[in-house]
Amino acid sequence: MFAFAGLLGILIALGGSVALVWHGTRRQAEPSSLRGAARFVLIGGGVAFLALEAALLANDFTLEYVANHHSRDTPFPFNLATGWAALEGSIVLWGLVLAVFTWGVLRRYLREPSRLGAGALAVMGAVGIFFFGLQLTVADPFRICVDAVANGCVASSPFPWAAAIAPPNGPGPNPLLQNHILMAVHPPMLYLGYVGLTVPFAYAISALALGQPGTDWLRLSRRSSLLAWTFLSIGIVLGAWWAYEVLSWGGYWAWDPVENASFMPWLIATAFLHSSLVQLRRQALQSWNFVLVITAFALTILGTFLTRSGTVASVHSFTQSAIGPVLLGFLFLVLVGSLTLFAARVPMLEPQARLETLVSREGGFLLNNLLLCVYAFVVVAGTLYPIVLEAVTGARVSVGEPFFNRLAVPLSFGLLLAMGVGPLLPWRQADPVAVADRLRLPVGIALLAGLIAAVTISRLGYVVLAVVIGTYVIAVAVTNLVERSSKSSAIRGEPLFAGVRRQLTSEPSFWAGQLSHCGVALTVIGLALAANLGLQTDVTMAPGDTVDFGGYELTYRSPFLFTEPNRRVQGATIAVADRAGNPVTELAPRANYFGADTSGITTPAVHSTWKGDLYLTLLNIDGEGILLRLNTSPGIWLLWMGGLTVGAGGIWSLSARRRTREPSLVA
Amino acid sequence: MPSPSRRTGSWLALALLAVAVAMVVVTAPPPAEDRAQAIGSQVRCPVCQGEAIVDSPSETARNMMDLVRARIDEGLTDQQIIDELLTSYGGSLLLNPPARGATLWLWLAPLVALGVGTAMVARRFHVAPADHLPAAAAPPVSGTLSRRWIWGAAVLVLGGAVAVATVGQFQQARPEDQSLSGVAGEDFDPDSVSNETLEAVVAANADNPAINGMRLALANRYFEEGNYQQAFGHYEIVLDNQPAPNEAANAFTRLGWMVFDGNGEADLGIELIDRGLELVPNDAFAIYLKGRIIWCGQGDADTAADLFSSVLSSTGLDAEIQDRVETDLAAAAAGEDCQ
Repeated sequence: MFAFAGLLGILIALGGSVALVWHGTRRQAEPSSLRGAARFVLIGGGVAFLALEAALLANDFTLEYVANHHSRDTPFPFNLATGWAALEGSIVLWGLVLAVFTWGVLRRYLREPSRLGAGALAVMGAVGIFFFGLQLTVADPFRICVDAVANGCVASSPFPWAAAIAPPNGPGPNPLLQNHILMAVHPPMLYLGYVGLTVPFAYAISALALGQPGTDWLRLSRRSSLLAWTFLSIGIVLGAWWAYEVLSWGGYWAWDPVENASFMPWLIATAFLHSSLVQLRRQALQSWNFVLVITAFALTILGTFLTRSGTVASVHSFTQSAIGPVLLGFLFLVLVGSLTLFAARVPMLEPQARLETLVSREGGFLLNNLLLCVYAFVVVAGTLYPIVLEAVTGARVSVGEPFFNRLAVPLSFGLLLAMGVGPLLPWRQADPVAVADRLRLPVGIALLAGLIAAVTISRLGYVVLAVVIGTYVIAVAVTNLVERSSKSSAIRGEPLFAGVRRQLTSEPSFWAGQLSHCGVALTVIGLALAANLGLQTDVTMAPGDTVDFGGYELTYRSPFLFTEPNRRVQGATIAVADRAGNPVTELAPRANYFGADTSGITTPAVHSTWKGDLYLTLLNIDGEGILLRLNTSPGIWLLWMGGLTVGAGGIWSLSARRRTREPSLVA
Repeated sequence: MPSPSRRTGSWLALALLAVAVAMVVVTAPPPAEDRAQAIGSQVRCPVCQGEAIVDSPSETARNMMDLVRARIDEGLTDQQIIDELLTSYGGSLLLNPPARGATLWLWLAPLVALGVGTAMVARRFHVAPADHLPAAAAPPVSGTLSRRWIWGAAVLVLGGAVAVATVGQFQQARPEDQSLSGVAGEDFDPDSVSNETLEAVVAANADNPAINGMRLALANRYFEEGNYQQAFGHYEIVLDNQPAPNEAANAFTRLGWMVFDGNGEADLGIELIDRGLELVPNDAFAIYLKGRIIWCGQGDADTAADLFSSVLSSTGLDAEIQDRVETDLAAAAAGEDCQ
């Protein structure tokens, strides 16, 4: 029954997508037909998603997807998350998110009907045809199980009326994915980001095809771009957090191809958010913005290919399936199609407004774009190089942390420096002396902070440098706010506080951007602290043993073993006391055994304070004792806080935009 | 606008502060250099997903880290240790690809991208030809000024990038005659490493069943050298670690020969070889050794001769073995005593 409902939903959504393309490309688009088509897409995508979730909650093991990725014993929130924890389900969620964004584009269109909007809807429909088409072919989540073993499905049929043979139970989702609740949140966030980037792409293609390369497409898609970027930012941070809480190596970012897959579009989307401002204000960088948007969308497809095709081994890649070549073909089509269209329209884009000098706001944005694009290039090159090299020559190489860090660290510091100057520069042309005057205070604060950090925290070069530059960025934002507010409050004769509020509410997008800048600065400081000052050691302990580590006294109390419906848990109780022997807390690092899995998923135990985390990983446990890995991660909370602050900046900008309904962006 | 003297004064104060920060950092005692950590972050854990061995909690990674620490205590250089890890576990484990050979382009490409990007940015600020724009739109002075700025910045950025890359190169410079690189292809070849290296690798991975093949190769090497004492222990561990049938047969055969050759226990020797032959029937080397024991230990030249001739009838025999079997067959068939 669920299979019928789900397939019907996919078919409706597919039909709606085809209708969108059909109506959106007509010379005289009918708003009512476009609305009907978009409604079909939304309803169809929703029905397919709900059918899959309902099948999971109802333990309907006649579906192959349920039989192979679900288990009666999995607790409730993970049941929901199973809906997107495997290949086919993740494409269903992708389709639903795409349908929601299509609906958003439609509402914008109904408010302000234009050929540009209709064309964008047609492109959304075309992308929809691809993703709903996937669900009917290589990533069909509603296949019926026709031959089962005790713990899963071994043969299936695409026809919902096939005679089903259901296994009594399934193996449950990937153990790594049912180990932490963040797993239920992080993928949808990333999807909202990935799929959201379809919207500016759709507008860009529509603008190119219609020969309307002005600023309209930027204005119409800016909100979606911002929304996508915000979700992408939050999704990336949550992914790092999940890795830290679950993967038990004390780390949060390994330049793993899958992490890179989410980082590449983020970098380009960030560049686009900045460079589109230059076009909105100065009518410059027209063609550049098209290139960025096409690149960002292509990178989301590339990322999906990398994570879903099994080309790289990772927790995100599922069983080998035919989806890899299909995604690669789609990527090729997108790139060739949109770049050809772009090339054909280049004559229309020239001549462009030239910019006067680098010492100006637009100059700052260009520097930012240069650094972000080189950054993205490094990440793409480092990720693809081993794959391409092996495919071409058969030679195998690893490209990992040392390579990325050597290039990413200087690029990041360069970006921070640009962040610390750009916001102070006026448009068109800045007076270098005046800018230098405004830099004195933040530079002084930053150097003072560096001195304090060197004396109290660490004299390590990277740490002090990160503190200086990070504080500098934050100080620039804060002093800038105070300076501007005091000026306006002096004129009006009101208290400074009122001036600050006036300033924040009158230019919310600018200050939201500054908040995101501060988030990036916090992230970099947190990274520098955790990466350079963390300690690590492995100790063997028998019950009753005590070790001194990172300012704590750790005592191994006893082992424990218990069984939950979906897993066996084996672990050790560790009493944590401070130097003086006062008890602080009790930690229980453990290994979880899901279903028939015998290797166990180690789950770290973390004690967080504002100074940093104590992080215990159980490496081995037997009758005689335990082998325990001890880590400290100083200041790591700054990393999470910073990342979420970046996202908060996006949310603030979005909500302010909503309240003021398209403010004076073009003015 | 502050007065010029106040402005100069404040910048001077900032410069002093900057010098103070720099001094505090520069005069800091060098951090306790953790060589094991540094080496461990360069090498990928072979059984994980892109994690360095210093990060990974997996057993293989921990064993590799133990090996690194042991080698540091023995006084080996970082490069020697990394090379040993790459030899033992496969050349593609270097997380930091060297800037030459197949991975040179990986290092050059970002620099090229930076150069191209800088040129593109510079083009944005070119003053458009006069016939495109009214003359007032871009005063020539500001045009030249901005171009100078841009090229200055470009040179600075590129120079800095080259400097960073060069410093990095020196840091990881390695002797040219070392053939190892991040490029794979060199699969593990026991013939190319010393017994000691192999022993260390095997010891570092004592609990890892996957090391059985390597341990067997080491044991076989001791066996060939006549070092039965060493070989014996390793064969026993191989048999304890759920060996593959061919590995077990290999171990049984040689154990059988050693108990005869070393201790003169012919019956036990034949029993052990027979257990090997149950697993891999018609193994020429095992049959030959069995024949030797029957001939030399039990004095049964006829049975031995039958076995020798069955060995000769098998195909793909090693030339050296074939010579030995032919000599022995001739002697046994003639009823001579073994030698």
